[in-house]
Amino acid sequence: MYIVLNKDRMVIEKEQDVVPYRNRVKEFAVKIGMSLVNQTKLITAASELVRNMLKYANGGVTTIEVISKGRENGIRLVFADKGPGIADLNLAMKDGFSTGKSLGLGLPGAKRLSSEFDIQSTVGKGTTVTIIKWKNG
Amino acid sequence: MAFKKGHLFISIFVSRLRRGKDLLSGIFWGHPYSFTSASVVSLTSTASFHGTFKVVILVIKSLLPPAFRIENRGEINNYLYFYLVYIYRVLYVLKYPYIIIMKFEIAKSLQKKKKQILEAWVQNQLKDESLREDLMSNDELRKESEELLDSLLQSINNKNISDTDSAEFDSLNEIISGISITRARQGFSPKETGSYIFSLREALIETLHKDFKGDPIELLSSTIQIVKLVDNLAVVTFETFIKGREEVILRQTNEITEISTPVIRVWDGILALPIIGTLDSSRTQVVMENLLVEIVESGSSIAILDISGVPAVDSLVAQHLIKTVSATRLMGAECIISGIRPEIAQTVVHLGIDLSNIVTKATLASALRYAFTLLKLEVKKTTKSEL
Repeated sequence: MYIVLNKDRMVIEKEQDVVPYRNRVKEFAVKIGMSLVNQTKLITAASELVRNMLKYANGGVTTIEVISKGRENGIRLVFADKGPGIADLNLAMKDGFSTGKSLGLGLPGAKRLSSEFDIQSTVGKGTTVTIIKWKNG
Repeated sequence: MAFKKGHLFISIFVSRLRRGKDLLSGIFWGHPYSFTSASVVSLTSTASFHGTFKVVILVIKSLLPPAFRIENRGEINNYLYFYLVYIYRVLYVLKYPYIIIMKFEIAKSLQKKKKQILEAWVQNQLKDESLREDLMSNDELRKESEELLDSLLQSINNKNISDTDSAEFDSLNEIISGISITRARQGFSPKETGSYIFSLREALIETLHKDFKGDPIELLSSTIQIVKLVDNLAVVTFETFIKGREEVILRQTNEITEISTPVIRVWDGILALPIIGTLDSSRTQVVMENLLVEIVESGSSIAILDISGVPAVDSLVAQHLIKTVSATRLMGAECIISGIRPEIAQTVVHLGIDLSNIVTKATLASALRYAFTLLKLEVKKTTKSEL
């Protein structure tokens, strides 16, 4: 269904990796000609998810892909960690719920900021979040 | 005891043949040296006089013909084959009697030949094209090499030779780290420091080569040990080098954080704090401290946080901003956030961050104007006649 045009992989281990990662996502977004607003939305969502990964799972692996569906181009980001997993996904996706003293807007905010959002989590094994942001979406 | 072990080997060897194992591995098992060295292992820990005595017994015993029973006619060939191997072993031991005692002397034979190794090592370095005579004189080089070699030879024994993490190597690792750091400061590249350690490997192997001339198997195994040892040492130099660099980077990061959060007095009673870059927890801490201290010192009642230079506002950054604003309000001052770009405004709304309790402005100028109205100040354009 989706054709992957370009792919990159980055390992996130420490807080200092967040900014380079965001810059890399931005490079990809600029390359496909995404508008500034959508770029910012994508980068913010990416930033939220990367921070989650660092905070709750001590890091993980992220993939940045340029994908295309029909005429539309977009960026797909995959965040895979081997952390403790999320016990209740519905609760985690609720605004203002946080187990870690933050605003509790990371996951739901990232969902609102991206065009497509998917989260898979197994307790004890880890969490994988996939988001897609279409160029004009 | 040792001889019984030898018997065990022989019986293993024969049963391997019986079970149809290939002859090559059989030859390996029956190799005269692997037989003797396996028996000698049990001797390594005994006292030297006692050990010498045992070795003599062992030499005599290893020359005795092997004893094992032949159960049927088919095994005659095996016996003949083994007998050939036995003769070969006798000849081998007679030719190179020292191979039996060589096993526990890798470390010792190196320790004895310290001068030789040092000479070879220094020669290796002098021959090397990457020698930096501009950075270090040959005398210094020799002195440094000698110190390192001394410590190395003191640390090694047969057990720890390929395990540089053991406690015996602590002082050596310290010396190597020291050399690596001083060399990095003097301007050596990590490659040059690395090849300095690597050239030691050649010197050590050359020395071993002379000792183990007649025994390729033992030479190979001790060469592998030496290679491992020196590789581990070289890795220590690289690690130290990288650690040094990381420290520099960390220090610079801290300095940048300090520098990049200036608090400016734009007007009497109005402070501005332009934030450039990402806001993380440690940075927020610095920003907040500087701001609060400055509010007290200047007696200001309005602080403007300008986030034009912050590339992305996610929930963490927003949380930090909200904390800073709350802290300022506790000090009795009003805090305005300015420099919110259109795309950031949209993102913040989508994220669901509630900033409605905070006064926000698009530009620093409008924030300043707002501050003036709060302080009941007025900025007027003067006409020429008044000047």
